[in-house]
Amino acid sequence: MEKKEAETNWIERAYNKLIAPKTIKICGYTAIVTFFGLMSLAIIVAVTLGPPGYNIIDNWISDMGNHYYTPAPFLLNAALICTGILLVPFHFYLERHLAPIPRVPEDLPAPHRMTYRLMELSFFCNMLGSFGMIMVGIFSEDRDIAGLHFIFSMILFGSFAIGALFMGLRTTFLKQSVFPKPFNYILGIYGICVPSIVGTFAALYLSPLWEWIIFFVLLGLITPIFVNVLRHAESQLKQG
Amino acid sequence: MTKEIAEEDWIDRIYNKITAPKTVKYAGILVLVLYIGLVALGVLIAALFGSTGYSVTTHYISALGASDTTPVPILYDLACISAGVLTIPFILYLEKEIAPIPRQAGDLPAPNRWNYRLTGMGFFWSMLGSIFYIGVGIFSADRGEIGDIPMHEICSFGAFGGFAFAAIFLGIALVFTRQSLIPKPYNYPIGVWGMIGPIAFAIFNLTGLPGVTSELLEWSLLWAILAWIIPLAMFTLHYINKQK
Repeated sequence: MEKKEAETNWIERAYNKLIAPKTIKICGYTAIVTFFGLMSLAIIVAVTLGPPGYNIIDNWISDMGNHYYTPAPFLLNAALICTGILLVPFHFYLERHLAPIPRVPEDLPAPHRMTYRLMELSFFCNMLGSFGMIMVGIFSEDRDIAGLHFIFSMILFGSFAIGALFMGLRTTFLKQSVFPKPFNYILGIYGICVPSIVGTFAALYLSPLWEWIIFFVLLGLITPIFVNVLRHAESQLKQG
Repeated sequence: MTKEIAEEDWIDRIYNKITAPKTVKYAGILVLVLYIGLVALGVLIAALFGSTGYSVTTHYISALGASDTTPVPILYDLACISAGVLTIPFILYLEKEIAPIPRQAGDLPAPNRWNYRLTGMGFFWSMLGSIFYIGVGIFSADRGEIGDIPMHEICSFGAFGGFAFAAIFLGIALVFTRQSLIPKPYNYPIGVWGMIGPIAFAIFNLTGLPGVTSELLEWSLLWAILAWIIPLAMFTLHYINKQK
């Protein structure tokens, strides 16, 4: 599905480097270690060393980025910024492999038009989600300017939840090779129903507990997608 | 770019019928004549025979569908429903022409990935706009609420928001991607207007502008969207005629 090296310009070469299986593998493992490592550490530090006693019933996730609740607010901020950046190659990789564009006759037949529609919508939402994630880390509770922290938090959760809906439709109803059957149905139906329903409740009842619930719901979707993409990238590497 | 007839299922066959140049041509001409004609007639009748003396500076567009403002609210309802329905073939055709999918070796090379990204987004928002615009006609000012749900307002927001966002993505596609629908240099002014015009007026509607009534701002948003869609439709019709 790739053009010949000589035919590509520097943007395409950078794009091809970014979504190369090797990059995906490195970014993937780094993202897993960074996100889970820093998040766990941020929770432990806030619960044990934070002056008011952090807990998920009364405290927002963002409180871990506030020096009033934790002595190490940079842990959450770093987790969000790094993961947001490291997820970008994944969005490109998923887009490319779930909606491949035929470049040579051997790539034919091309996927159904609906494949492109759903994947591009999902791609856009996921990129917006990653952007929101980075911005939430930058405009943490300590550096909240003009309510930007809340706006980017809504963009982060909203975009990933809507992106999950389109991705779910794509993986459930159209042919693909990244997620093995019947796992694609479980993941797809979960993506269609759970984040959007829970996200609606979280938006209606804005409370710390609901924020934690939508966080775990999204994690429950993104983690298996992540693992499958890593598995797919490794199989691509083995094929050479 | 079409699959062999034998390989098509009924959905593909309907899609091919809807996006056939002939269908798009008739739908395009019909929507221009019907929509502009019905809205102009609606405004004229409301201004001349309406009990409150309709004016674009003092009345919202939706008042054209209210029986206490005009003796014929059905004109605007029909305009919305017909515009919503008849723009669907046009949207599908735009998507198909700006981001064609190669079906056989002769269709290669395929367009850049950005064509698919931008038209995918443009398609989604346009469809949302069209469907909600049908909703504006169905849930007119006279039938605006179902229980406590303000259906008319929801549909109006969906329609204007949908068309404004679609204009951004399709505008970017016209300016920055390779396409044959709108020839150079016309693609630049139309595309740039699509990127900034409708969304700017949509934002003004939310924030308000000093010295301008909210009613006139709503009308300005409609004119901004029409100033984007009408040239686009004209060039598409011209392109279809050239294809013959």
